[in-house]
Amino acid sequence: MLKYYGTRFSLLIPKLILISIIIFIGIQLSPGDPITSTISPEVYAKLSPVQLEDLRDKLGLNDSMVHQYLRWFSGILRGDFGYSLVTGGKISKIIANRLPATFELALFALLFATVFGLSFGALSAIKKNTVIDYANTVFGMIGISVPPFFFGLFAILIFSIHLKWFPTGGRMGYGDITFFDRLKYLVLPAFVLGISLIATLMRFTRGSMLDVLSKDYIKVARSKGLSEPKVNLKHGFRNALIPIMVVLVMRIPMLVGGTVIIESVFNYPGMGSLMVSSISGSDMPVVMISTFVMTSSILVASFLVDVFAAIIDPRIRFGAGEGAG
Amino acid sequence: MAGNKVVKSSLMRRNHQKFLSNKLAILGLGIILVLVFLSAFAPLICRYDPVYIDVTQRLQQPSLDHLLGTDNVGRDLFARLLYGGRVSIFIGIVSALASSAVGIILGSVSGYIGGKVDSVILYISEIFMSFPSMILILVLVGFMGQGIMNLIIIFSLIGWPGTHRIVRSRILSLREELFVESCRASGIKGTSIMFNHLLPNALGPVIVGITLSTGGYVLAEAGLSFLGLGVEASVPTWGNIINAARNLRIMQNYPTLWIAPGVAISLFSLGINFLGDGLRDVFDPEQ
Amino acid sequence: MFSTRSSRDEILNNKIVLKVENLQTKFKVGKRTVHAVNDVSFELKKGTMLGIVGESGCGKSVTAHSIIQLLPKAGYISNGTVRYYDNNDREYILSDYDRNSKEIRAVRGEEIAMIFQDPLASLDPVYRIGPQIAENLLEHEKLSKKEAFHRVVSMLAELGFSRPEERYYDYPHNFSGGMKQRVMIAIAMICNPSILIADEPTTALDVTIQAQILSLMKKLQETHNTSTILITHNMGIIAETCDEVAVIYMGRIVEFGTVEQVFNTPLHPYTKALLKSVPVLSSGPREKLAYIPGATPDGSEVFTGCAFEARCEFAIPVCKNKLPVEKTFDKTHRVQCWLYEKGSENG
Repeated sequence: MLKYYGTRFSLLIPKLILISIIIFIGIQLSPGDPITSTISPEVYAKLSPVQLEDLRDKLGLNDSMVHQYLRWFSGILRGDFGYSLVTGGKISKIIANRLPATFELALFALLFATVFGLSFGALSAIKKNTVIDYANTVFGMIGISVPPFFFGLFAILIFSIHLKWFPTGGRMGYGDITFFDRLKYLVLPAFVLGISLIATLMRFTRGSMLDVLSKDYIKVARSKGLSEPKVNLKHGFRNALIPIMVVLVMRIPMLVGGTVIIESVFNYPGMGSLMVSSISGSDMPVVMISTFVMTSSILVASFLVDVFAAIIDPRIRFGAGEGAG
Repeated sequence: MAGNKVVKSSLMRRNHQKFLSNKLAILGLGIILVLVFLSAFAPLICRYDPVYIDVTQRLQQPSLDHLLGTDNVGRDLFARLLYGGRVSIFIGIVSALASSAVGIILGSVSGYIGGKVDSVILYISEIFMSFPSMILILVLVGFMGQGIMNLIIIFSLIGWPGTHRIVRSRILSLREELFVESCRASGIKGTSIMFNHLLPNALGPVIVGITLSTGGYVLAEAGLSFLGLGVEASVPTWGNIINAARNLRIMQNYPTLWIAPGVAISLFSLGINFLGDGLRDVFDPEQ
Repeated sequence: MFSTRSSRDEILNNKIVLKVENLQTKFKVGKRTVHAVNDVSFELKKGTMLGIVGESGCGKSVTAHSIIQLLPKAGYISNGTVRYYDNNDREYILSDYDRNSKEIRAVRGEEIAMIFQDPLASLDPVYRIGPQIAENLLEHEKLSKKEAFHRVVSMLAELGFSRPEERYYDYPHNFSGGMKQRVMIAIAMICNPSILIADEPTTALDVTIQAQILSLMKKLQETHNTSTILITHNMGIIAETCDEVAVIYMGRIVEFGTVEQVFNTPLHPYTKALLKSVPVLSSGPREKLAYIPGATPDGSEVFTGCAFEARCEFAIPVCKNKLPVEKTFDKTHRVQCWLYEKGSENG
């Protein structure tokens, strides 16, 4: 089993390295003097052009690309992400504040979407062609057609402005310290972020469930005298879950991508809104580093979902083959 | 060959019947056609200029004069909706066609030639798929700037992996079929096989892909313009209109300003999804 | 091979455990109705093995599924009754129970168990086999996990598994086809049911394994005195293992009797044709029998006369128009054929 996880993990590393190379190239291609993102603006302001040239040599900015890349990458590993062109602050500090925010948002949205998407989808399959099934299909269609920001604006109008249940935006208010204080800020954005994923998961779960329910081992379960709920849950849903994991892995990038718009709608200070503000301000170093951080997180998250999939499907772990009869 | 023609037309007829029986697909097609029609004939339908600013007319409620009212600088909303539809739909369709074209070419090369070329293209498309598309798009906008043409180019650059995968897998599975062997045996050239036999078979899912991605690109442009990073604000698009209404006071008191374009985008997207699903049933029967 | 086959008289004295009367089962397929079972009646006697034989599509499998109401959503019993009599002579009218109701579920697994054709598809791939067997047991008997474990292990041992306490924790994909079928049999037999229904249990298995499984089933039948219904398209298997046989065609039993009666003196032309086309313990699903011209008719066709008429070499004009009346010979040998209008015990 460890061998399986080890192989999957070792596939991860080359991908991360390749992405870092792409990011590095991106940074090199951005307009502007590379030194401004490597040293803090205070230091930059104090130096004369001669001293700057000297510093460029020392920092290796006149070295070959390969050397520069290795230097940059080792800096990344140490947590040195460089400086923002706009604010002049350390990029690592900026991200340190924002990454957990997006992480919470995405996780919440994922949980929400998984719980509702999977259960409504399974219900649709069990009650195939009934009112429940059609209703779910309709909601699903709407969920993937309506633009997320539209949903977001609507949600704000109804739940924040009219009903006053939730705040209109932001991540926390004055005096909100614990997670539970922050919770009310998470609800609407996570809900809206999760909607299109719910729609997709519902549809897919329904299909997977229908597929599984036609299998012989379901009939065998009934022949043992098990009740329908037990058959559907223990044997039906459990098996339907496996291909759903695959779909989930494919959708994680979309979920993270969705934070860009949702965070903007709700003024939520996460990585997504950081992307937007830094693009608007042409702060390319921040853009590239943010991209790197988000993409790496997605790869790690996908790896974790893969691990989970292996846990629930023994065939993956042990390799399905004919044993000694 | 007369025989071929007969087979093709009965196939067409069967597909037509199946399509017509799918009421949702017809509804979807209808919605799309209405929206395209309204946008295309905008100047005939509405007499207002979508970019004409008249501050004396700002924030008017819907009336017989201004069917949907005016926005915060006095522009007629209905006009902006119609003309904006032109841009949004145009970007959607052209991007879908362009990215699919790239995907078809690369997919054909991948599938038919195979080998190292295939592996390289496949690896590249995998890397593309690891990035969230929204983020890739934003980065490219950061480098290339805003604008209609830029958006179309960017969408084509990041959108081809989907079509590539479809075409590649179809060609791979068909390549080993007997009829390809017999074609080769009777001396027909490779490119001829590709164009006359393999590609037409792959066309079905590609058409479905083009349809569905049109909707996707309309949504993408809307999102980008909503953020102010898509089409420049001087050109009306459905997303831009909502961006202009992004203000809590306006949102509350003049809901038409953002609800109307939002509904337009949603209707278009819904219609596309219905249509795409119907086409998918036609081209890939699950029986 | 089996010296323990009951003779006709012995069988006549055994009590009846299952009584199927005029069973009729239909399927709704889109707008069509498929008449899978038209009129099936038979009795299963305690401790005997009844074979139901016919080509594929003849309704034998559907008959079996109808007994414990295991039909898919599109299927339903439209007529007839199925009665089960347990060890205390209590009568259960199975056909009256709702699908998946508490009553029928109490019977499934505990009193009547079933095994199916494809052992690979019959086992849930994500659970270990031990718990899958125990699941049946724990559904019907109040046992601790430990007690259930021991019961399962001894069942596995009885079925020929070495180191059964270790195999308890194996997954289905660790087993070969034959062993998987043994696991299925374990699942079915764990509650010691009165009746075991086996729907083509060996069709998907290798020839050598087939013989093993069949002898295993016969042994179990004798040890536990389980009454068994064996469904197959293979006359050879019937000859080797069964006490009585029902020949089924297009949803009707065209001939019924003890194996000696039917094999020594086959009456119905269909039976004769089946017998002619039997190789020795055939390999795999030989569905198309070479000696009978024509193919099995579509299930939605309705016949006013005998359904076999079109393929019968002895057909006479009346066969097409009127359904044959059942005639009985030698006390237990029944046949539905116009050829025997005269000369029977009730003609």
